[in-house]
Amino acid sequence: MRFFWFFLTILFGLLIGFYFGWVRTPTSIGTTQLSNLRSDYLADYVLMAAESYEQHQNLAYTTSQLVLLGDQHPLRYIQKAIIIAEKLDFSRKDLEKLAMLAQVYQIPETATEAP
Amino acid sequence: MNSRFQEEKRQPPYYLLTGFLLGLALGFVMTMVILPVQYTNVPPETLNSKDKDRYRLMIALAFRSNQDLGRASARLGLLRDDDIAGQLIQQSRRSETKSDAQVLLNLAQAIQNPLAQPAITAQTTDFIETFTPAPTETILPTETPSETSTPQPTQPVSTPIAQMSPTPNLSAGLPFQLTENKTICNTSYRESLIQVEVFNAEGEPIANSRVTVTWSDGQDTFFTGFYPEISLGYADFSMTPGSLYSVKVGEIGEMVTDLSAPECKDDSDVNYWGSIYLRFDAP
Repeated sequence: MRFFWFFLTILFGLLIGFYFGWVRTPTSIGTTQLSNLRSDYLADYVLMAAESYEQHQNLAYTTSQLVLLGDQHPLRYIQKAIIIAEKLDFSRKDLEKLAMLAQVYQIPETATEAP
Repeated sequence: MNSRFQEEKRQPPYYLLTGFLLGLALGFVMTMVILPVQYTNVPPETLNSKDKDRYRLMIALAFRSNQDLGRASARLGLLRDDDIAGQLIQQSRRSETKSDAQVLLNLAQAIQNPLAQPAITAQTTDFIETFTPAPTETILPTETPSETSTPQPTQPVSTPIAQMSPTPNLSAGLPFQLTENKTICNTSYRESLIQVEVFNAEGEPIANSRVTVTWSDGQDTFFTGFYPEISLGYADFSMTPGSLYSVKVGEIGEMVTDLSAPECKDDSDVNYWGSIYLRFDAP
């Protein structure tokens, strides 16, 4: 009987610990990363990359900016951004910029696939 | 009375307290260390300071390309900084490269003075040509969020604000003239400096002004604006005591010659090398 009450109080302590750790005083939200951005902000981030690429034309630099969004290939993020941008009615000009950047990433791929 | 029961003292249930504390400690370790709350779908204002800097730089780079101040301001607004221009200036001070600092400063300047002509210098494009991708840290995606923040529904910025057309930095072609030349004797300076401050015709400091310093066997060119905490029009150069220097601002500015580190004396009559302050104004 003692053990029963002992484990019950452990469980009770655990539940209170979970409540305070996850619900009441969770980790500060000011520590998130670019990879955690909401999809519309992510699309805007990719659009910024496309806008700056339009000027500097340095694919390596743009890649270094896009890899911060996660471990997928940068093209995936551009494709996601295009889908979101279409849903959110981004201007045609912005869509073109994104499409142009996507195209730039696709060119080397098709070139290497060719025998 | 039963003497047998009198001898047994009733013990408090300490094991229950022990169990509770054990559970509490385990709960805290799990929620704070092993499985802390991970946020996804967050707005830019919640980014950590490093990523906020990256986001800000990205905005400045995009602004350099599209010169859309409305869009840049809207994007910066997402970071919810109290002093947007101040944050840009502070970030420019801790930037790893000069080009990043310049891009950030340009945006800060455009925000502070929206009616001014945006300055685009050749220097701001240098980094792109020389950029070699550094090894980047791998960020693992968090697919199982314990808690999702629900920020206010905000439309991504697609601002239909009139664009400013980029124009070259006009300060380069101005015939800047020396209006002040004074010796600075300040013991707190670690080295002998030529301090240059450049102003436009309205008396406002100008960033991105090219300053050329020449001496007997060399020349150095640099730009104003890298010390916004002093002045946007400020730049300095370290002198070697005993050498003679000439200073010019812009392409056709007045050349100030025969400058050398002045001798100063501190409170206990010990000599040390002082600095020179030069003020140049546009006509």
